[in-house]
Amino acid sequence: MNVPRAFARWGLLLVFVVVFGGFSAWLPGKFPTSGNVQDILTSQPPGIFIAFAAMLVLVVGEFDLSLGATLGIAQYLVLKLITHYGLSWEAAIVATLGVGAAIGLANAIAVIGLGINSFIATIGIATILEGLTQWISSGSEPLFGGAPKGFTTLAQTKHLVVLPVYYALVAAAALWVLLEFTLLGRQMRATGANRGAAKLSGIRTGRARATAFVLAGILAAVGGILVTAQVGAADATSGPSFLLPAYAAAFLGATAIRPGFFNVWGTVIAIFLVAVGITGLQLKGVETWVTPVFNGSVLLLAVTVSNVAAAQRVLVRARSAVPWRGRSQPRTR
Amino acid sequence: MTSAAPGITARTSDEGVLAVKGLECRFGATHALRGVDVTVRAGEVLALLGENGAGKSTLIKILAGVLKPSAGVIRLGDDVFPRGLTPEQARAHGLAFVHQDLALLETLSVAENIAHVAGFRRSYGFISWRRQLDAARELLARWEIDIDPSTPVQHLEAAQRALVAVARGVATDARAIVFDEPTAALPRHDVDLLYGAVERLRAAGVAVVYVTHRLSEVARLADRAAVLRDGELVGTVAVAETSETELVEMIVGAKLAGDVAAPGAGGDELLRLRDLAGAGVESVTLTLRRGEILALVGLVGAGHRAVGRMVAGIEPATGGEMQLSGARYRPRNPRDAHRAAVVYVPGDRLAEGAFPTLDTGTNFSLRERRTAAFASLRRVHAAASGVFREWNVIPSAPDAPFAALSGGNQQKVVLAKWMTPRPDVLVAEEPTAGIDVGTKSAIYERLAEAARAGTAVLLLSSDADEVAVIADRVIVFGRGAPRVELARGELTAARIAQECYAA
Repeated sequence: MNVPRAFARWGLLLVFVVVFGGFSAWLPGKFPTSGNVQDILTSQPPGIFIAFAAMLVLVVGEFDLSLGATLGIAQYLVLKLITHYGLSWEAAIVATLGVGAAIGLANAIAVIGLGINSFIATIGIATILEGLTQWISSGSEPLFGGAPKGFTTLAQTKHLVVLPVYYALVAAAALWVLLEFTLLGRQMRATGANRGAAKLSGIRTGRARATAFVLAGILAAVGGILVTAQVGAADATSGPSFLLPAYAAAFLGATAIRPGFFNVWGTVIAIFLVAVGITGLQLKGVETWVTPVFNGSVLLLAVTVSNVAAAQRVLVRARSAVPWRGRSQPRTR
Repeated sequence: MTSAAPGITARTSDEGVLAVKGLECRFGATHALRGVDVTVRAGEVLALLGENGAGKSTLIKILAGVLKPSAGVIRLGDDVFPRGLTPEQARAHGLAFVHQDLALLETLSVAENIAHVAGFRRSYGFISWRRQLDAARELLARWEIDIDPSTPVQHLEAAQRALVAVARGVATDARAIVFDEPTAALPRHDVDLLYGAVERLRAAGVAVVYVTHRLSEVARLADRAAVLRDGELVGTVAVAETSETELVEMIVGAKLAGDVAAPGAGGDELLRLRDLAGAGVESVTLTLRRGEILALVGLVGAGHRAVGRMVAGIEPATGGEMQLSGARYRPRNPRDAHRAAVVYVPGDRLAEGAFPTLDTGTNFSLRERRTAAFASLRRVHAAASGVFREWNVIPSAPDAPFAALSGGNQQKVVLAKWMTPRPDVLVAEEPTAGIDVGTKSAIYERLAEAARAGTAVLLLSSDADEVAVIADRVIVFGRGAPRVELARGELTAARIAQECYAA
C-alpha cells in the first residue's frame, strides 16, 4: 500500500493511539484504568449524535447552525412533556424526535424552498429556537427531578458500558450504510460534491438536501434526549455549547478514513481523540481554560497536516503522470 | 402527424428520433429562440452551429430540461412533449448529454459518476460497489476507454474526463445524444479519441447532435449542419454539399471575418528565460521580443502552460532565471508580475478569469491600481463602458451581470481588462476557446494590434489553426521542455499538430 495514502487514511487513528499511549505512560495509575475509560465513553454519546448531524448536513454541502439550539430545546422539552403534561416517557421521546424532525424541515424549507443561504437561514431558526426554549422554560430555569425510572434507565443502564454508547454505535453503522451503500446516500454525497453537475445527472438535489436537514434535526434531538436521560435533569441553556465541537469533529473526521470526505468513522475517531486528550490533561490537573485551547489547536493541526499531505500528493502526481494514457501504464524511471 | 393503423409503421426516417418544432424561448425582453425546427435521424450526426448568443445553448438547455420553452414542442421517438422536458423525462426517453463543462462529480469515482446517471448495481437493496465497479469496467471496455473506474474524476486528464462523460451518456442505451462543444477544452491529440466515440455512436444507430465552433470538426464528423443566428434557424444543409465558406457565411451573416493583419515583425528582446525549471518543466531557455506573438504549444502536460504561469508569477520557478528588459525578474506572485507590466489571461474564464456574479464594469475594474481607495462606482463604470464600446462588447452597458453575456463577449471583457492599459508582456492562455468565428477574428485583431504597439505576446494554445493564423513563431513543447521551434514560414496547422505528437 502506498505510504502517504495510508498515512492520510489512518493518521488520525495513529495520533489517537499515540495520545492514548502517551497519557497511559505519563499517568499510569490514573489514565489507563477501566473507570477512566468508562468515564470517557459515557460522556461522549450526545456529542457523537450532534456531530453526526453536523456531518450529514456538510455532506450535502450545507451548514446547519441550529443544531445546538435543537439539542437544547429537545433536552428541555422531553422532560417538560413528562413532568408537566403527563405524557408517558415513550410518548415524550417520540414527540421530541418529531419536534427535531420539524425543525429540520423548517430549515429545509428556509434553505431549499425560500432559497436562503443555509448559514443565514439556520442562524435565524436557531435564534427562534432559543426564544422558544426560554418561553417553555419560563426564562431558562433548569428543570430538576421528575424523570421517571424507565426514562433514566435508557441512558444509565450499564452492560459493560452504558447503553448510549451502543445507541451511538448503531447510529454510526446506520449512517455509514446510508452514506456508502444506498442510492439516497450517494445522491446526498453527489449533491455536496457539485450541485449543478448532480442536477444535470438527474439527481433531485433539493430532496437530498432536505433529507439531510431532517435527519440532522432528529439526530440533534436524540443528543438532547440522551443528555437529559443521563443527567436526570434538564438545563435549558446548554444547547449552543454543543454546536462548535460538533463541527470541529466533523471537519477533523474528514481528514481520516476517507480523507477529503466527511465520513462517519473519521468523525467518531475525532470525537474520541479530543475526549482522550482533554481527559488526560484534566487528570494531570491543568486548568479548565486549557480545554478549548487544546480543542482548537488539534483541529487546526489536523487539517493542516491533511492539507500538506494532499499538496504533496498533487506534486507527486504532476511529476509522474503520463498525460494522455492514464496511469495504467507501468512507469520507468 | 397522421395516425396510422396498428401494425403499420407510419414513421419514416425523416421524422427522426429527436425533433423540435416551432421552439420559442424568451427571457424578459430577450428573444433567445424564435420558432426553431430541427430534426435528427437515427445514425446521423447533426452539427449545430452558430455564433455565441445565437441560441445554441438555449436550445441545448431546453432539451436537457434546464429551461422551459415559451412555445413549441419537443418530440422524442413517439412521445411528444408540448411544454418542455424534465431532466428525468429526457433520460427516461433515451436522450443523453455530454455537457460543455462535462458536469462530472469531480471528487467521486468514475464508476459512481456513471452510476448516478445509469443507476447503481445493488444486492439486497444496498449498493454493491464490487458489482458497480465491474459494470463500469465492462462499459468502459466496450467503448475501449482505458481508465480504472475507481479513479476519482479529478485525477483524470481532460480527454479521459470527456470520455467518461460520453460513456456515462451512453450507459443508458441512449437513442439520441447531445454533445455540447465537447472538444472546446481538449488538446488536439485527445480530440481523436472523442471523434472515435462519436463515429461509433453513429454506427450504432444513435442520433447525435454535435454543437461546435470548429468547422474542421463539422467536415470530419457531421452529416448535416443546422445553423442558428440570432435565435432563428438560418437553415439545415448537407455537409458534403456545402463549402466551409458557405457555412461561415450562414453563421456570421453579412459580416464576414476579414484576414488578420500580419503582426509586427518583432523588436528588441524583452523577456529571456534561462534554464527555467518548475513543476512539470525542466530547463526552458527562450527569448521573447517586443511586438511578436510567440506561441507555446504542446499536448496536455507538455509543460508549455506551466512556463506561461511561471512568467506570470502564478507558479513558482524552482530553478534557472528570468530577465525582463535585461533586469532580473522573479515574480513571487501575480501582483509582482503586474507591477512589471506582465499580465496573464487564464484559459478558464469562469473559474479563473472573472467574477461571474458581478457586473461587467466591476469585472473590468477589479485589478490593482485600476481604482482609487474610494472609487466612485460611476467613474469606474464610465471608464469600463468606454473600453467596452471600443471592444464592441455586447451589451456595452457596464452594469450587465458578467454571467449573462455570451461566451465571446465574456472573453472580450476579460481580455479588455488585462489589455487596458497595454501590458509589456501578455500571457494569453487559450484566448478563443469555445468562441464563435466572428469573435475569434476580432480577438486575433486585438492581439495583433497590441503586438504592433509593442506588447510581447506569449500565446499558450492548443488550437493549431489559431496558432498558424496569428503566431510569428512557435515553440513546441514535449515532456517538460522545448523540442522544436517553427518560424513564420513553416507555420501550418498540420505541421504544428504533427510536431506536437512527435515532441
